[in-house]
Amino acid sequence: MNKRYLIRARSCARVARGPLPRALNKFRVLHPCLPLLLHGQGSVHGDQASGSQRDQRMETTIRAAIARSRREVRRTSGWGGVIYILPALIILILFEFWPIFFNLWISLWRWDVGPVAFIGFGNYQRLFGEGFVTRDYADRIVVGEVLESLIVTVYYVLGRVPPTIALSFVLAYMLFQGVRRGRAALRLAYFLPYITSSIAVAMVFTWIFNPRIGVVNAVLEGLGLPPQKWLQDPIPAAKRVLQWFQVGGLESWPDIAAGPSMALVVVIVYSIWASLGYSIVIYLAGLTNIPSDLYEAARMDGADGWALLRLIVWPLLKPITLFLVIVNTINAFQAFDPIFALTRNSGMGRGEAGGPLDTTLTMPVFIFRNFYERSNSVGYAAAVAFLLFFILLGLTIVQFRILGRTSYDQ
Amino acid sequence: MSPSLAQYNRRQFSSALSYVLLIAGALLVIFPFIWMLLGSFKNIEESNRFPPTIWPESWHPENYAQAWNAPPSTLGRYLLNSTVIAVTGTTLQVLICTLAGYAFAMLRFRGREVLFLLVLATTMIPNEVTLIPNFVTIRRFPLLGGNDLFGAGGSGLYDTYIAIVLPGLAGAFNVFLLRQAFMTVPHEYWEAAQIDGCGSFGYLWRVMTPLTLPTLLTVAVFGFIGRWNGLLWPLIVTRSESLRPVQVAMTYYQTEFLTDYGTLMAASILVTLPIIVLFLLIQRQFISGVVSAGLKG
Repeated sequence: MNKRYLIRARSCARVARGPLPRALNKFRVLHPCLPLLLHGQGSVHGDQASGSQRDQRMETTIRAAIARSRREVRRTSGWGGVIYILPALIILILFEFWPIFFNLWISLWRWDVGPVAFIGFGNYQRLFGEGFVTRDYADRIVVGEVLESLIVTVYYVLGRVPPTIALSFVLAYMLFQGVRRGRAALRLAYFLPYITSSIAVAMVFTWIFNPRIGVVNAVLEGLGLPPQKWLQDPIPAAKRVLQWFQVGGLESWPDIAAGPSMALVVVIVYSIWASLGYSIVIYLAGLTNIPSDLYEAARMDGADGWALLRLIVWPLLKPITLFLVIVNTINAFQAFDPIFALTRNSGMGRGEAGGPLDTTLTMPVFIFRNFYERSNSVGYAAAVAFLLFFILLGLTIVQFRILGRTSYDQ
Repeated sequence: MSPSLAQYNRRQFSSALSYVLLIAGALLVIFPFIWMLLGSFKNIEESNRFPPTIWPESWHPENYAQAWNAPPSTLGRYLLNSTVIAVTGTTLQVLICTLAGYAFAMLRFRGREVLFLLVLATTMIPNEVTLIPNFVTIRRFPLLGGNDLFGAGGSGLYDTYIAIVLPGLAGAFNVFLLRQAFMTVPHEYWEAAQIDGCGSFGYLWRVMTPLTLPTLLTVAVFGFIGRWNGLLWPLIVTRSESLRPVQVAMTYYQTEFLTDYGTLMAASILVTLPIIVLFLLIQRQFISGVVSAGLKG
């Protein structure tokens, strides 16, 4: 390719970008997905694309850049454009930005249907005090309700995200490599739960995992394994498994320290089932974008399937993996519907979501319970919501730091 | 055997293995749907049998009638409510986001960058933080629903369709998606449209929207499915059965038909079917929409 052509393209792109990307650059520090949104598949293409492909891409880039640079200067009509964004802006300010401050305000009150009494940081004292460490009926020091909910949330996220990523990568790779005919049909099958997952579909899981009549227990029995109580079992799954094999080791551990409860494991299984399709589709798109001559070149050099996977596919899909880790983690931290649908009627307690014995009470469900099902604790729920907000914010920033270390534009 | 033939055989073998594993996996993923469908025809006795039967011994389509007439209001009513919520909400959302996306893509005005940043920043605010304040905002909305100027006295927008639909109408991510789509439309169209005497709104309406139809469709389908499957927000801001959507109704059915899994599954099928049909109609377009939303934006 002509070098002058390239230089011109770059300057065009610079002009076209104008002031907006500068502002966006600042924003990139805050937002984890943005580098991916902006650079997207460019990282997958990298510079490894073949000559003709690169030429073609360069041409489209240039065309788009020129068009954009012309468009940029077209209008300087003061506030004219604001009218177009006004409806969206009003709604976003009223229902997205204002709530952050309003939430803080509510968390400073004892609040029931309306404000009852201003108590300053009382809710936060309760949250970080007895919410974290408290004493039980026998005056022993135990984990408080907020910390317990936080631990349950972490179990849920860790139980859900890594298996989703691993499974979807393997399935997408098999779909891409091993399958010619029927790929669309298989992709459809894996994607179906993602769009239908709702309370209605979760119902069938309460039947499948029913301890008395469920089909899963029928299968276990057929295999000669002991039937389980699934959604009604607050005992950690690890303890149950050790019981099957009659090995000791965890009996003395408090339940909260011994991993997710059996009930939470079922919730995790459902959540993986419901979210798998999305990650598969994204991975599949990433795999399709790897130029095929790369494979051919590697094959010529004698690379076998495993080497291909390890040296080419995995590194090139790394940005997509990170994107999926972030999206899935944020979704998992905020998940409410799966837990509400599966644990509301788990047969113990008062029919509230989060049971049995609060072992599936993740933070969103904890907030919902205090807000909707308890009296006088709306302010407390708001304080916990704020804690969740900062946890997510911190997590986002940490993930961005990790993300920032891997290069996108190679 | 030559090395290339060995390699070929190995590849054939791994392809066959992939097929077996993928089909087994797909069957496992589809299994809950199959179980739901077969179960919806079993009577209460058969659905509570252990070990369970796979194929129904006797078929009971009357489960569907029973699910349809379930209390406290008929399923038809809830389906209608959901349709109203999903259709009006999605239409307004597409409209609002299109206008905003167009302005951010094509028009130049003071404060554009800052406002765009503001819009993008909302994608980082988790639902849990906005849940409680938004409920209070709806409940104490000034001058509506018997409220005075300071939001006291009445119930504001609580228990109205507006309350269900309003907070989700903007959707920063949709604005972003549409902006990206509008930016790909070649500039020549604008020049041609100008010669024909087209204003900036006419250009959006007559030229831009037809050209970016795939993205608009993606946004609309996302919006529709999200509203159809939504539970928490409608549950919180409504009380009347004449407003509540199907997913909220499903929580009653779970209690109502506690052990009558046949009827419960029939209700699940009736609620999920519209989404499955919608998805099958436009699945290719929709999946590529999900991909571009996830990767390119």
